[in-house]
Amino acid sequence: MTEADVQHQIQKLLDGEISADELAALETELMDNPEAMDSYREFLDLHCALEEEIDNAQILKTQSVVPIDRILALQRKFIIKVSLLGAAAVLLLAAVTMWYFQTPDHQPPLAKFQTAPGSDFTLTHSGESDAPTGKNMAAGSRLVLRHGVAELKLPHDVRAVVEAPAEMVLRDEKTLELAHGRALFQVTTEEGQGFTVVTPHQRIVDLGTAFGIDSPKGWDEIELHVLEGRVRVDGKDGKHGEIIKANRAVMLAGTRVKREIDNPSIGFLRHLPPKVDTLIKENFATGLLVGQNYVIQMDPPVIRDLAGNNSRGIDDDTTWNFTTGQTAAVPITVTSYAYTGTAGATDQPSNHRPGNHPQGLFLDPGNSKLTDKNPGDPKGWASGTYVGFKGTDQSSTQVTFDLGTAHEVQTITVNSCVFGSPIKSIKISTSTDGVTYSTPTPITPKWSGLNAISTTLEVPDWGTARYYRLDFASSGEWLFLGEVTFGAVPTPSHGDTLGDLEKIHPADSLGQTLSKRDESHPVAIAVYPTENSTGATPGGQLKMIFNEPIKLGSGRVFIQNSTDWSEGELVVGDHRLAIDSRTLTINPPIELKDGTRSRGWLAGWQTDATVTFLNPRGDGRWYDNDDLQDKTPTQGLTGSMRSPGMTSINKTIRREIGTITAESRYTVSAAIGVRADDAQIKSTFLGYTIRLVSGDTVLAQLTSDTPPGPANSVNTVGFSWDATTLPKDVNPGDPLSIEIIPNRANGPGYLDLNALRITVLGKTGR
Amino acid sequence: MAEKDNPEELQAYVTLMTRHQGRLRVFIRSLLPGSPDVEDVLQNTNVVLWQKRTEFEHGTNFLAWAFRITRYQVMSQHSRNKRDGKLVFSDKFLEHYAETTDTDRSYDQILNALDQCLGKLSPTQRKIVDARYETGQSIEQLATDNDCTAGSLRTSLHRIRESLKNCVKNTLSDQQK
Repeated sequence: MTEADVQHQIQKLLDGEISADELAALETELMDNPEAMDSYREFLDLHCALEEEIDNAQILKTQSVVPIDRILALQRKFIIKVSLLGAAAVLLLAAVTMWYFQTPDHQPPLAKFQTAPGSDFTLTHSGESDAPTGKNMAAGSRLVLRHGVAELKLPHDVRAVVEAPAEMVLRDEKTLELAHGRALFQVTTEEGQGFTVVTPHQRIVDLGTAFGIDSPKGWDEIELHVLEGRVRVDGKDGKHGEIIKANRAVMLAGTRVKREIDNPSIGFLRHLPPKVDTLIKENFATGLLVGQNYVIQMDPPVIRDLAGNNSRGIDDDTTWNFTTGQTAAVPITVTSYAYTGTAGATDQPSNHRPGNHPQGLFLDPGNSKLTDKNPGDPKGWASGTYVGFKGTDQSSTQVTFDLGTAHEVQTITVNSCVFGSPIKSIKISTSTDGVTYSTPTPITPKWSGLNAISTTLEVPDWGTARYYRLDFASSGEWLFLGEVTFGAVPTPSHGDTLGDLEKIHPADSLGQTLSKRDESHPVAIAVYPTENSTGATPGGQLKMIFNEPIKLGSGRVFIQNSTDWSEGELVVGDHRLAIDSRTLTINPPIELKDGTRSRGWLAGWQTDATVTFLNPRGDGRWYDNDDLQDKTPTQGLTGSMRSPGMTSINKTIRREIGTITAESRYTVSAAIGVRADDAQIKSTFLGYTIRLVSGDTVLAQLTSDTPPGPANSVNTVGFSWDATTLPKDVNPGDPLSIEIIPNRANGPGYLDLNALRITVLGKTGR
Repeated sequence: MAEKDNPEELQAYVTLMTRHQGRLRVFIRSLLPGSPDVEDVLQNTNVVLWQKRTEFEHGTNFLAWAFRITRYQVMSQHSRNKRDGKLVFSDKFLEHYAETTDTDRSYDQILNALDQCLGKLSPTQRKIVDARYETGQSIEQLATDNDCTAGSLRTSLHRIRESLKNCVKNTLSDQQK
């Protein structure tokens, strides 16, 4: 480890951001390297001193000044009493004294809590003047946990581990009101017996036990799992109800046991997990605006090759400028297609070959996909509007698409079905000017049964191609091909597109670089949008492809909008800079002046339309900012709105967020805006559906046509999904996506969005 | 029951305990960096210190004695943390670090030097430090709350810490000349 690496890892440790592997490596370094240990001590001294310094400053800020004579009087009183009282009383008095010295003049807390790193919560108190500070709760304190886990230490050694999304109010030393949430409670002392969790539908009274409650928001029923001892389920009026004993899990409807739960879901967390993993944190403020001129600059160390050599960066001399167009990305079009059955393939009698029958496959109005007129409808497959064949062991059939001009296709989505046993394979070929490339090995999708199944095939990087051919091989069963879509994904054009960069650094050309990789700079061989291009429609992202695998180093990327002279800056470490092998993807920040809006493309989201970005801060065109709930410290924005950026959609947006991890619990939250009644630009509330999906299978969703709050408010809504029991045909490792859907698509009106966050909790601690 | 509750000694003992709360807290923090359990460990340490007050020989090094007790409490918390799956250093490292920590160092000098160095920060830098240490929130959370990116906040905080560390070191060095 270099000295800089050691310091970086120490700082990550201090900020709770270090990984297990990094901690192990740091420990080894500290044990072996005395200089590293010295550095560690210095950082720790500083860190601890800062904590002390800030703690002291906090106390001074929040505590009335205590006159010295009061302290002296207390000490005198203490000494006199010590001489009179026994040891027990002395202990008590000492405790009181220490309390006096250490605790500000606040309402004594009833409970305290800790949260797992990465949690998101809000703590409010019923009284402001004597509210406890820090993570302490008094009677009336309300804790809203949007993400993560909180561990509550309540009076009488009652302990609770609560998982988001949850909301609770501490009523008194023995009563916690749980509006919704999932929590494990442990009562280990006799004094704690009688501790009561009040849910919206019943009172769960402890009779000396450990029990878990799962009470999702808006549900009439809750799960009660008694792990040890017993609890009593009382009515809201306090009327005593049934006693549930250990090792029993029930679904409660009011005080009634509706049913037993035989297969409990994911276990309750018993401890705070080491951290909460965030999959997405999106403020809907990245992308490109229509009709704008952009200038990109980059510090040389931002990109390094794997040997550590810096790139040349982009400066005033090596420019990267482009202008965006006025419309959305133009989909890749199919100009013609041909169907060929080979030896052994038998045409289905009702088959309609493309181009050979008026009811066969046809191109949609955008010429971007072939469809059978019944996309996704299994009944449609049987209606004869498809192309199909029956194969033998050696048979196959091909459909060839001519894209007219050369394109680089990133994905091909094939929607088809097969009777009986699975289709053997699909092979993709591309062809340009007589040169054909093929997948090295056939792709074998998991298809079976009479169902419409959609699959997306990643197209390897073969360069641009004019023809795409899908080869289907079947094993004696009928295959029906219903729809083929080419991903209208803008991809960088290879070649001499970065102009000045390569001219200025001719020694770094691709060939020479490959021969002397360890000593040369990584060279950008292509960018998208291309240098000096106009009408760029990049889907909101910028891409740079280098001549060799790269990694992020340090420094900044500047994205200047030279039309309105706003400038965004991304520092390495920012999640908006991402590397995939040789490609750097930049999700540029949208900088909008207060009260303005603009159309553009959301970065990283799949949508075929431009969206509207707006900055609601300022003149009340959408929101009457003066009356928003939370004026500080967000300057007129609500606590849910973490930045002035917001987007309005009237079409579905979708984004892939990874793959499904078994035995995990996913939590989704987003801020939904409800425009002010007196807004200059009003909008009908469209309703919303936020859902987690895998392929076409909906895993969990939150849907509502009711505004989540009053006019002129922005409200966090959320839900969680337990990936312990997966739907049929969905398995761990399958793709996981998020979809946000305006319920009344195409309006009139828009759905205003902000602050989407998705976190996941594994089984550690359960 | 206490064997001796001499009021004067008791007063002296309470004074020592009170005076060194900060040092004990720092010692715990240094052994459990970034842990939210510091106050709990301090509280447990205080209870044990009080229970063992009669074993302390007045006139000897209170801090060294208290550090020994604190170490046991820290190791106990450390074991709990490990059991709970938290990310922690190994026992061997912790013991090595505790063994080699100089208990005679004057922590007040570090605090005084830090005071001076904090005064040299720009308002923006000071705001970042205050935000990080007042709330105890993660960098991601702070970035979200303050309308900036986690990457830029992390970079800024790292640089500020480094310059503060160097400043404190130089200040202490100047004072010793």
